[in-house]
Amino acid sequence: MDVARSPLLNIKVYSFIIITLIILLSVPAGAAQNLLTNGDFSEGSGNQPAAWKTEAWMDLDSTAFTWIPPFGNDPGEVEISNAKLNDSRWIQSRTLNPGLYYAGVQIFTSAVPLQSWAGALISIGDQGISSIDVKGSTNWTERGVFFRVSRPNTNVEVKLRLAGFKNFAVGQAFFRNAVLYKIDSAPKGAMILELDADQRLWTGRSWTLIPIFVLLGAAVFLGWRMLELPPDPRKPVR
Amino acid sequence: MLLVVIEVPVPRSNTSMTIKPSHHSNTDADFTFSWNRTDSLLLGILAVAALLTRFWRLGYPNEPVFDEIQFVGQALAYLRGEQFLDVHPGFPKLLIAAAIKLMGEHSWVWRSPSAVLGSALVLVTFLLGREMFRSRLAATLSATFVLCDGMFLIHSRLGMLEIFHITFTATSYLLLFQLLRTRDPALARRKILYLGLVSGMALASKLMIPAIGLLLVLGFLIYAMVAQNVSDRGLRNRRIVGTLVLLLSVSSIVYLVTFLPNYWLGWWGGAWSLVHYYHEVIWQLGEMSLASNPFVSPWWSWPLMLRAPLYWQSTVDGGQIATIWEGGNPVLWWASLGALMITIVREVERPTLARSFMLIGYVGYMLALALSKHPFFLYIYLAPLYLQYLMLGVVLADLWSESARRWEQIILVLSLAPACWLGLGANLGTLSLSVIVAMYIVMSWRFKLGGKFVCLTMLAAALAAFVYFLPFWLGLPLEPAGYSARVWLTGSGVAKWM
Repeated sequence: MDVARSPLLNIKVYSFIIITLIILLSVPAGAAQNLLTNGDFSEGSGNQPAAWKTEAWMDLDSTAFTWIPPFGNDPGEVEISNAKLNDSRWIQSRTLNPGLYYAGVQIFTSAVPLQSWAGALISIGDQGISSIDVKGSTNWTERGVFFRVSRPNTNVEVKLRLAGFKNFAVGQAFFRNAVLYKIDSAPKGAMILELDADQRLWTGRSWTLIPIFVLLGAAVFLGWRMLELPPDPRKPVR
Repeated sequence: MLLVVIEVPVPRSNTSMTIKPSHHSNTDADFTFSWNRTDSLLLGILAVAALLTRFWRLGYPNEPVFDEIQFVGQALAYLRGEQFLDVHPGFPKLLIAAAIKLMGEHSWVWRSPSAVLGSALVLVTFLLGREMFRSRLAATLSATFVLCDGMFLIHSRLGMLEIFHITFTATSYLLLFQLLRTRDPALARRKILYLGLVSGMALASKLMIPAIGLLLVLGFLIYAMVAQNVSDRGLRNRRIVGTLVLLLSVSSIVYLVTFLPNYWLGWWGGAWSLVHYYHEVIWQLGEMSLASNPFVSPWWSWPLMLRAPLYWQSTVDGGQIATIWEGGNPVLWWASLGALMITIVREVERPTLARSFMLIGYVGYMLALALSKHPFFLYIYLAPLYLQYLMLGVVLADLWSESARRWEQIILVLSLAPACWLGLGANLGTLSLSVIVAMYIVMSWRFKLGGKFVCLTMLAAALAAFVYFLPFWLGLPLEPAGYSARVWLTGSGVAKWM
């Protein structure tokens, strides 16, 4: 068989089956509900899949977003095409409660240079919760990320993107079967990212800025007063 | 209040380009400049030329060029409220965001703050040269060199960070030299306030390098006050402390205010976020120091302009090539190296505050950059290059007034050699250089006009190079042959343009 003759393809197929099984087995029966609306991109009109919107780092003519409705047995897809460097995304916002989640999607890329800073991936927001990227010209590849939400009613944006945040790429990326599951546990050894881990470093009380500005203001006043001097009648020195 | 006289080269000629002391002056320190019609005319001409070169076809190309994708993108992220972190402070990006908010998202709009600042830099250079050298000619020449140099030009036409910190730092130099001549304490205090404001803006425009400019200004300010021959040391010390406290606190406030949008947008939560920002900066710089980029060049190659990278290129209909290139004006760049050598020798023989300022500034920038592990592109050399162009301005003004020495004239004539050989080829280049040398000898010995001849030749060559390379700076389409003719360095190592 063809698959048997291609070890690389063989590995990819088995990896895909194993990852899918792990994800499905980790989701309790009855709870495998895709939290994304229209994650299979089956609904929409014109060039716009329902419940999804687009966004780009820069609004460029060289970036195009396309919805490909289901055709025959093929599921619906969304496409991003960056003719020039950009970071472009299909986005859906969700409100999540504390717990463990998995976000995944199947990605197909074409002509995304291997030396790009980032390829096609799925991310939650822009602050480091993202899957491993896909570069080059590939077949459909599953990518996903496990993440933990610790605050109630946390608003997240699931982003299917070509290029990462502040890391730009050219090429084409196609996405299908996007999922967002709440799960009880992640597979053994899977990396679980804390949604708030990065944000926590930037939190604090805004009033703490007040003493800084008060001190600096006092320093300005002090310096201003110290320079309140009469004209100096002396001759200058050379 | 700050009484230090800057020794000025004694004017050899009494032309209208020489600034004379005010008739109302009682002391050397009160040496006020009489701003006359010549100044206004020169400033007006420079302003028109700066606006023309900086704003003409500013929107072309209608797409991000080089690092515009980073910095204009960050300006747009401010407007979208999309959180990001960049090692560089946000002031230029906030100005770009404000321009986009006011006038819409167009390429000419996101470049307009740079064009305004880049035009202002030409005028600031004229005022600074006038203040430092007390010569309208030196001031005009220095400003013209900034006007006609490609690297200053393209950074005035792109939404990047360089022209912001260079312009604010140059303004701080201007305020320093004005301050050094100011006797009125109320005026001096106001100038210290302004100095704090522009220093804060410079610091908020780019990471690290504006701090070298601030240290330079602070160092000379303190030196000037310490060098005063005063009997009341307590009073002097109070002035020094007061100046430092006022200047540093004002610049810190301006610097910190540029971070307030991060709080207003909810990205940052408190004072600790500022500390965390510096942690991130150190971490990111550590990561970047390992990065290899074909555009990165070693510090010793910058004065020779060996590695000048391509910023943008497009092939238009008919096979013509449109290019935006980071390189400077090679005639001016290499001539200013000669001016640097001349300035060093003059400083050893006859030190002046202005010369010391330029040389210590140059060495300070180069030392800091050479010792850094961080990789740099050629544009980092803008700050020391700016000081070199001030040196070239004053040296050429001395050539015009025939007060420069023979060896100084010869060095500047020889500084044309690389441009002759690389631009015209070995044979034609040698012939051209020989003709220039022969004419110089004749003008020098027969008519005693060697200095004027070198000055005019240098200006003509610089202007010719400006016109010749202008398509490379403005992205004007060229035939492939014309494109290749302008790429003077094509080596496989560091010496490579494009």
